[in-house]
Amino acid sequence: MIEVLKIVSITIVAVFVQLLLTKHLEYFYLLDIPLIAVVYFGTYKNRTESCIIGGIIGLIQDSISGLPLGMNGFSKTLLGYVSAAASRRLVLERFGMLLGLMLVISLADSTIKLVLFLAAGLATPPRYPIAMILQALLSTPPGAAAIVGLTKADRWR
Amino acid sequence: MFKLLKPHPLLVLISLLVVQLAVLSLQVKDSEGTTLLKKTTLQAISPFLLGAGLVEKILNTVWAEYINLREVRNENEALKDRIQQLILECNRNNALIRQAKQWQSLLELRGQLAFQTKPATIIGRSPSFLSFTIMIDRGTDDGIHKDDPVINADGVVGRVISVFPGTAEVHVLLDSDAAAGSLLSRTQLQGVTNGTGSAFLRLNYVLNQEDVQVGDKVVTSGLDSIYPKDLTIGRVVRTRQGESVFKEIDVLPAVDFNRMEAVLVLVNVRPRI
Repeated sequence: MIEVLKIVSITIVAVFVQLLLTKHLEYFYLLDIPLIAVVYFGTYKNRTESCIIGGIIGLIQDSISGLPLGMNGFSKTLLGYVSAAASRRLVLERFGMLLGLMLVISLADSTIKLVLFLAAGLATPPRYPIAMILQALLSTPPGAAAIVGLTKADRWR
Repeated sequence: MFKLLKPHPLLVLISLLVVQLAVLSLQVKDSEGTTLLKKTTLQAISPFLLGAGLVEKILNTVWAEYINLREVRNENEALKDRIQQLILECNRNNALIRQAKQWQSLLELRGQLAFQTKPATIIGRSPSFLSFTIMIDRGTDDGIHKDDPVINADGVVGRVISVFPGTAEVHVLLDSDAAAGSLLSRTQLQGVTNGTGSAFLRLNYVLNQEDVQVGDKVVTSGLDSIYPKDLTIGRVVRTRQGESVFKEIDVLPAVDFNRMEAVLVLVNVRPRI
């Protein structure tokens, strides 16, 4: 029950913090906080749980961001699975390893969304590739730090 | 729920991805307003639809052109009947045309002749090949008498041998008992043309030493008191020296007796006793 509350809380906080920050500070769209939450769940949940949680987070994100429903849903479902699969093979206690995973996941998220945009025949935002790389670079350090922090908090509890 | 799905993470992933894509496809529309899901689905199933259409077409063709031929059979029967009717109609028309031509020839001939004539239609032929006679639809009521010559546009047909009020019997020149006084128009040699019971006539009583050639025209001589002079009988088709003093000369009749439908009877050719 506590675990469920934790998942719900983190999801809501991630999505709404992202929403509030982007609303007041435009460039905060470069930081994908829900993606950090997805990777975090992937580090300790199994693949099934991770992809389901990722999918739900993605759908919530889509529903409040104005993107077509399923855009983030698809991406985060897949990346939740990948995170969980990677955490079984990688030693994520090493910060460098976690940074690398976060960077790859961020780049993959942007790439998947670009592919979906193109496949759906939607117009991509201007300078999307640059924004894509920037988002990956900017999300990676705080993302990795947040995951380390949340993990330590779990252990402390 | 999670415990049930736990052993199959890849299956869960694929299912979720498909659902997400379906949801996404439902919202994205192309320039024509078609949703991506519908478009993708149609593209995916279109080969099957095309295949099904092709199979249906083949089945329809096989059914209509090879199996369900009842209508075709009925139509075939109807067309065969129609063809028979048209053939009959065509034959009837051809006969009418031939008859009209014969009548036209007879009328032209009638205008050229110096004799009084009565046109007549052939209404019967002798059923036996041993006697060559025809029945015509003119008789004593029309002024026809026994021994009146009968001709058509091509030449001599024969002579009347029996007369009744509305009909008359004509003895055709082909009959082996029929004869006509003749002469060869090129040389004016005289003889007698007899029927042979076949398709040819025989010109008799022309001496072996006389000049007779194939193609010579044979006409009536007017000496038999039946046929007037210069009516065409036929052409010489074969001549050879006879065992007696006379040549054997075969003559092809000018008249086509088989296709003859109308004739002219020459009346009052000679004074009646």
